[in-house]
This record gives sequence, C-alpha cells and structure tokens, in this order.
Amino acid sequence: MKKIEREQFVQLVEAHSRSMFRAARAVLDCDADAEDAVGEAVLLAWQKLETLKRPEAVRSWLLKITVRCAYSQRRKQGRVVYLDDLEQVAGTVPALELEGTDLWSTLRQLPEEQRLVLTLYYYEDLPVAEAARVLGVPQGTIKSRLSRGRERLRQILCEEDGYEYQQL
Amino acid sequence: MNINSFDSEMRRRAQQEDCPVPEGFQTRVTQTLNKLPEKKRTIPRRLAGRIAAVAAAALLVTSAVAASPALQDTLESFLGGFLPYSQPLEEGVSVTDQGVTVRLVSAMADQGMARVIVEVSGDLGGTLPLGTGGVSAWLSWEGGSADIGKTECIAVDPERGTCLVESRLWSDSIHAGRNMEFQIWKLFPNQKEAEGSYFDEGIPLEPGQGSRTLPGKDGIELVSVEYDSGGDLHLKYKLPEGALPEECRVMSTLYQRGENGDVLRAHGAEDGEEQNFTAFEQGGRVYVDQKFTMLEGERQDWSLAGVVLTYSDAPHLEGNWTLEFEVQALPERSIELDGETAWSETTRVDGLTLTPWSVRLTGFAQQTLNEDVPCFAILQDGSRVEAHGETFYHIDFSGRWEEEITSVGFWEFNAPVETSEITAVEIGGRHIALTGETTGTIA
Repeated sequence: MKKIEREQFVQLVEAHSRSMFRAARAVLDCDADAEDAVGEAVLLAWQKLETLKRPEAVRSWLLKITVRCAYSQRRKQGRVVYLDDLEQVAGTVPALELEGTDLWSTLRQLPEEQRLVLTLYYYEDLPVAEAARVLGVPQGTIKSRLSRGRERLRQILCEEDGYEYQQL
Repeated sequence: MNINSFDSEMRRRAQQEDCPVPEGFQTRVTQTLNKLPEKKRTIPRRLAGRIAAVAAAALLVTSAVAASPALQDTLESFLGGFLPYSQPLEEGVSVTDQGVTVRLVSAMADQGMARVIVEVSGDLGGTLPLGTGGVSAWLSWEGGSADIGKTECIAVDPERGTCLVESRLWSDSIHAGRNMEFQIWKLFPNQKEAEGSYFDEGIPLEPGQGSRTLPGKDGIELVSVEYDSGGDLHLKYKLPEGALPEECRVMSTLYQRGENGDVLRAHGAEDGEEQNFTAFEQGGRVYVDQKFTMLEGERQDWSLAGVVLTYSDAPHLEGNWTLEFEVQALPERSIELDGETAWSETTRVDGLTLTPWSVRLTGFAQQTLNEDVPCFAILQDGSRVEAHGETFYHIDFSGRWEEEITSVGFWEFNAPVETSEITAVEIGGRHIALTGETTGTIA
C-alpha cells in the first residue's frame, strides 16, 4: 500500500473535517467540546496513520476515530446522562427546547444512539455496514437504532412541520 | 411516503440544511494540521485538576496498602503467584477529590490484557459493594481504548473505610511502555441489586394486572403494567424501604414470542439499547417506572424475561479521580503460525503469543473464540496447565474492518507460567507445536 504522506493527510482531513465535526457534535453537548474531540482525533489519526490499510476508507476511518475521541472526552468529563434525568412523570414526552426547525435541530431531540446513527446515515450517507464499522457495533444494532430513530424523527417532524409523513 | 422516500427526503434536507459549524472551525483545523509533529509524541491531556504523576512500573509493581493490614493480606492473596513479579514503590501514585483518595497499588499488562488495582479510602458515606457495579471507572492507554472492561471492588475494610478496586481491560493490542490512564468518575456506596431471571418461560405482562411479587429470592414487586396514551409500555416496580429515588436504576428485558414459543422481538436486551426509566417517591415508598417505546404492531403479548433493580440508601459520589502511569509489558514469546491457517469457516489464525499469564491467538475472525474453547499449555515435563477464557473477552467483530482484527482468542493462567518451558499449546483440541521442526504447525 502506498504510504500516505503528510500533505496528503492534511488534504484528506481538511476535506472531511466537517463530517468529523458533525459526528462529534452528535455525541457531545456543545460546539467547543466537539471541536476539542476533532482536534484530538486529528492528532490520533496522524499517530495511527500506519493502521489505515485502505486509503479509500479514510472518511469512515476518520469518523471512527472521531467518535471514539468524543466518547472518551465525555467519559472524562463524567457527563453520563441518564434518561431519567431528562424525563418527567412517566407517560409524558420530555419538553426539550427547540433550537430551530431544521433537520439538525430535530435530530438533537433524539436519544444519542439514534441521533448518531441517523447523522451517519443521512448526513454522511453511510450504508449500514459502514456505519457499523464506524461505531464498532453489529449491523443488527445499527438497523435497530435506525428503525427506532427514523420513527421518532418522523413523529417529531409531523408535529413540528405539519409534514404529511405517513406511518413508515 | 415509504421508508425509501422518507430517507431520500431526509438526505436531501441534510445536504441542503447541513449542521451549523462554529465560525473559524476550518481555520483552526488547518492550524492543528500545520502543527502535526514530525515524530509521534504523547497526546497532551487537558483535564483540569488532575495529578499527572507518572510512575514507572517494571513488570508488576505493588505498593503497601496504606491504611489496612487486612487489605494488604487480601491483595497478596489476590495476586497470588504473580506477587513475586512485584516491585514495591517508594511513593504511590494517588489523587484526592472530595475527601476520597484513590491510590495506585498494582499494575500489570501484556498486549492483550491490563490489570490495575487501586486503593480507595476516605469518607464515602457508606461501603462499596463487593463485585461489579459500585464503581464507574475506565482504563485506557495512550493511543487506544478498551473495547471491553471490568471494574470490581475486590476487598473492603469497613472499619478503616478502605477498599481495593480492580479494573481490567482486554483489547487487540495494548502497546507496551505507553502511558495508561485509570479514571474513576463515580462511586456508589451501599449499592444493592435485586435480580429476577425468567428467560425460559417469561412472566406474561397483562395491561391492568395488579401488583405481584415476582418469583425468585429477591422478591421484586411489579406493581403495574400499563400502556400510555402514546402506546408505550410502562412497568412500575416498588423498591425496598430506604432506597433513594436518585440512586435507583432498572434494566428489564422483554420478549414477544410467537405461537411456537420462539422469540419474535426483544426489548431492553440489545447491547446499547437505552433503558428509559423514572424513579419517584409516592406514599412514603420509592417506585421506578420503566418505559418501552412501542411501534404500532408491537403492542401485545409481551413477557418479562429478566429484570435487575439497582438501588442504594446512600448518595453516590461524582468526582474526577484520574491516575496516569506507565507500565511495561510482561515478557512475551511470539510464534508465527504456519501461514494463514483456516481455523474454521469464519476464523483464520496467523500467530500465537505467550506471556506468563496468557495465551493469545491472533488472526481474523467474525467472533472471538469464547470461554467454552479449552486451552492448555503443555510443558517440557509433559504436564498440562489450563488457561481459562474470560467471559468478557467475547467480541463480535462484524462491525470491524478485516484488517483491524488481531486477537481471536485470549486465555489466562491462574498462576504464572514460564513461557520458555511451554513446548506446545492445545486450543479446542487442536495441537500447536512450539518447538522443533513442526513449530507453528496446527494439528
């Protein structure tokens, strides 16, 4: 395999940095933390460059490292959020403040596992197998999160936008 | 609109709307890229308030457990045959937060596994429970992270308020000589568990059913089963007296079975599926309400397959107890196997690595060989030493790139074995010669 040189690596990261930020932001609660995770991921990717066996898979490889850095950062900050911290009396839907009505803001209302999978699926257009590799989980897990995330997204969009999204 | 149309619409919106990116982000990325080191260096850690002490540890190091002779005895007994590898540290690596001190006592690693033991002392407001669950911790190494880990309290001295906590990680390649980082972020004193397991038959869940005590020694009370107005299922459990609402957790597994008893669907069983619950106080007692999101067509014929209630009468502690240290890998002996051998339809092996505490088979597999595959080291005198497969080292690699796979099996010795004395290894009945003309061949 032809070795990726420094200049090539720089170009590749610049080309995919937005994707990396989206993935990190899907995990973390603020832009600053997501930027930090991207920065860590860039340095880590440079350090582990020899482990990239297939240059054509560089985007997924960068995304995988970014997601791991994001989770690592969240663990270090002790920000383990339990859903019972968000939900109110059983039977009600948590009233999260809407930042806007664009798709990204809507995705932010979903549970993190579903949000991350949908980000990879819609924004990065990754197939299920590739998303499974990025997240290091079985394909069945991706499909399950995709199915539930899609349904919840549809419900929220119906309420928000009045779109006529019929039952999937 | 069907699924394909919905997905197409969402992709279109994703491309058109994108996600907001902070101003100057691209510039800052370029600046980071411009500063890439020529040589690989340590990634700087930026955690505030952390004591960044580095303790060089050759092989296994132990430090006297500060306040508790009883725990010192337990530590030596726990380390057993590996104790002779130890070297006492003159000064322990430690960190104190909120009056609780975590101190490094022992660290040991090879390429497949790392074990760290720390002493936790101070006013926890209670006693850590023995076993897993009382400590939220993470063990990682520079440039990598653990895929699977286990942290448990192995000994407690309640009189002195001190305990020993062991954390283990298993991974494909823990690089020797690199910095390791052990971090505790939560401690759960007095935590208890009530568990019920009904996977064979299941407990039918009938909406509107009255309160019932579930079978089993822990006497779990299932108070109600209801569907809410949104069609989601709620199971409500009553907790023992004294439990604090904020310290309650529940994990339930539901099955929906077909006419022939086969499991059609499961809820709560999938790795990573969220456990959605609320704990609250009512009439002087604490309850936990667990909610299961139900899609249309799923809202019937569910049974309870298992439940675990976790609770405590003492508040948990949150803090930042991070220890960074360097550990040298145990000496290893590596043997290249005869070409890339097909172990099975889904497994290829290309190497074997031995350390005083482990046997590691490398190659590529869809899934690691689990603890049911026996492993023996055969010594020069003909004796056989068994190595056991740890339950936690069972990784489904279907989400991995093929090139990433290195470990397909990992087995541990109960006592250290001199690797130079091993003449062969038997794994799953297959004989791998390590000496002579047939070295590296699998029979």
